[in-house]
Amino acid sequence: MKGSDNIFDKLSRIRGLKRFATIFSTLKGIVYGVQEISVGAPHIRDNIEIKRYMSCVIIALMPAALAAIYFHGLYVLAIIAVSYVVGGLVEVSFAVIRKKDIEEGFLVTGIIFPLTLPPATPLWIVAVGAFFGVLFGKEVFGGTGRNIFNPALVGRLFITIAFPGVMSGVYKMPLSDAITSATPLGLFKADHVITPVWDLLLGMSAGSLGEVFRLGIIAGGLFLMFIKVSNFRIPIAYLGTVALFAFIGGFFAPNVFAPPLLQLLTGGLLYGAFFMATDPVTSPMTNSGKWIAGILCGIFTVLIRTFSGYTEGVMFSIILVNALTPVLDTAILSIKYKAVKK
Amino acid sequence: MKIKSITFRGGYRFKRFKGQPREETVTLPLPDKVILPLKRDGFEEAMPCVEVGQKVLTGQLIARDDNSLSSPIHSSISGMVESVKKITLNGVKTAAVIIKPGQSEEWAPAHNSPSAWDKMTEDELDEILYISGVSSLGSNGIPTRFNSSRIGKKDVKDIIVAHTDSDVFNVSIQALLGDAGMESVITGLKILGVAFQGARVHVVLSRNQKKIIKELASNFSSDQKISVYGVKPKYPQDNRNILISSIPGINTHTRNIPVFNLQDIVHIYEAVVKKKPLVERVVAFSGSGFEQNRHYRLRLGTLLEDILKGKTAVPKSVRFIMNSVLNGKALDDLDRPLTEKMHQIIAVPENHEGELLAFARPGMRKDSITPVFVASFLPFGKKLDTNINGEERACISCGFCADVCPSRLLPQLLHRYAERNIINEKLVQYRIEDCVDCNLCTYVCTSKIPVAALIKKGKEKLAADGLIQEPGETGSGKDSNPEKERV
Ligand code: SF4
Ligand code: SF4
Repeated sequence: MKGSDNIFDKLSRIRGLKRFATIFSTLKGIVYGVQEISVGAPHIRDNIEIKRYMSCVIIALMPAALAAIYFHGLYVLAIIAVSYVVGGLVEVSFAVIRKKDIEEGFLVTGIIFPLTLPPATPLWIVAVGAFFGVLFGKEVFGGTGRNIFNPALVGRLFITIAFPGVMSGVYKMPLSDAITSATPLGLFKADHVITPVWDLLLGMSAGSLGEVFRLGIIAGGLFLMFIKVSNFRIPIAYLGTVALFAFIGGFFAPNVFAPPLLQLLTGGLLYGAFFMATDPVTSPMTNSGKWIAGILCGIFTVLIRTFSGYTEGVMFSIILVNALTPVLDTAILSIKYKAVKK
Repeated sequence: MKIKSITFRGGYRFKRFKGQPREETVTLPLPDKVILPLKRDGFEEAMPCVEVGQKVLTGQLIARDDNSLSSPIHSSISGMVESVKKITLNGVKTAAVIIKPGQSEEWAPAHNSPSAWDKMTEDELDEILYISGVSSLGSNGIPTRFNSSRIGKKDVKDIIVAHTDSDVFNVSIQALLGDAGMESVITGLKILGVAFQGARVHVVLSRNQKKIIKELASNFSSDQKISVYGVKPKYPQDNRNILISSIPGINTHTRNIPVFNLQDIVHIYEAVVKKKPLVERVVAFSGSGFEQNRHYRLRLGTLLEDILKGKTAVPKSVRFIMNSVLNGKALDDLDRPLTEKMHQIIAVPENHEGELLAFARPGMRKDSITPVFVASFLPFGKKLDTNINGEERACISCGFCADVCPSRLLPQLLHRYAERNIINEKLVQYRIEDCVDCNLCTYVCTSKIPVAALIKKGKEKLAADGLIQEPGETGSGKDSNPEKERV
């Protein structure tokens, strides 16, 4: 069998479709695998590749996604579909313009983004967020691997700031249609209500689509760490810092700081720590940098949650640390390589 | 004696690959002709001392030049000199003596010393090591009072002997040993000790070779000069620089450390005790491209074409690789003689075809640094071929390359500079010079970027600009001069 006999090669040779050659070559890669062989040493290569890598992230997100569908019905599927279609279109157009293969990164962004949204988010807002996120979070930087910010977060941040009214009134309790704005963190901030742990773990609280079924998120996050697709340093540093900071804060000002366990199990913290702060592209290069980034995320999160007008701080913290990452990398490299130089 | 356990950070363990050579060693019938290049790898050309038409015995000296850095050459079969002509080996022209076999299979001894080896003086051993051709072995040759190595004999303070089973396929120790068994290794090491009075000998073995380690340890228990170390069989433990930096108490800044493998030690034993010059080599045939994975005892100078004929498994095309699939060269041209630098030929199937829905398969036989394939949890042998297993993509900073880098570099950082052709002091500051060309970063790369090749390009450019030393000078790797051997 010659590699060039398959349907995608034939399609890409059809006159009118030539300019979409990149789409067909991507599809060919997905279906038939690659035909390329090594040139010189090393003659063999590891079997890990980007599609497998990204698929693993998507698998790890499945418990959270399925729970969201269970809690809020098929409308969630529509949200996810809109995110994929819009994000995909942006990605594909850029690939066609650049004449490069379509990068698999959007497959992950396409699912991470909608799961950060409140259950009743209107579809047009989903579309705007996905479009903005992929375009300004990624493509303007030159595509996957060159972006500074997590594209899903850029999209989420944009709609939060652009449509504050819509975005605050769209939370629902699972398995019901009643609109509420009372997320567990909000309840604590307003009335010091502490939502029971099991409700938080199993998802019986108001919150964004993918963030409430916390058992599933923990399972997915541990799975990713175990298969080394995500680096364990960031989530551990992040969650550890939040718990420690909240504990110390609570020691001095118990009514201001939410207690550690509540901090850990509310809002988008677990989701953000396991799936967004770990995005390898936007996190620091060195291991020490990863520890520091996790710690910074934790400090910012508790600070924003406790002292700002916002109830939730995960999104801002990660974006902020994303922005600091290049500086952090430069600083660490200059320390690391100055010390060693003789 | 206490066996010290040593290792290094990073690296990668290649486990359970199908195609490991079995222990047995098969001797093939003598070849129809041998081609003996007079220039050994890393040395100058020796002067022929036989004439066309002259009868020679196995082991008879056919070339020698005491005035240049060279190694004496011996006929590897008994017969007649057919011609002396120029050939090109690894891109370098050299004269070669071509010998056709005759009737007899008589041997000429490597030396005529009547005394047993332990009665010999250092000078006598020196001469035998040189005159038997054995001094051409190892990373830098064996320094003697002759012109046999770039290293001065007096400068040698440490000698390393390594057999760490750290590559994908590894020569079996048992298969190397001749009739004398472990005795050959033990005596070979002792000889080395006597020949280098002022040096320590460090023997580095895979810690899975428990029996052999024990045997060596009990033999050298009272010997201050010889130390035995056990290591994790982790690639690239065999690399010269990695060996040097993982053994405690060695001066890492000196280049005067010859490194040998166990076969070299067996050759030393055979030359001194059995009076057998360097005329043959045990070569492992590894990889699933061969029908039989075992070792062959082969005469130097035999054409690879003849050796490999009929030994491949399938009509499918295979790639023959010398010594290591990680950093060995492909043998594109089989019309070349077997040389003393080969210890393994690996046949890896070429795979241009890809695999249907490869990314979604369970991967029962797929190796990976991450446990994303079920093979990581199954006891089955893993398969390999030359497919790169994925499309080249932008670097996603997954960090696997930095995890495996034995020199603790940040390949993901270095390759970015090299890719954009920003090759300057910045790379020197990031210690690009420390890269030992192990190619592991390319192996593990999720985005299938030729990371190591880009880094190498950077090093070459920096060396040309005089910002770092020539890569060859630091003596990295098993191949003494990788540049020259590019096929
Ligand atoms: S940078 Fe050099 S030493 Fe490090 S893994 Fe790559 S090839 Fe090996
Ligand atoms: S392994 Fe490849 S993709 Fe991963 S960080 Fe290194 S160079 Fe980048």
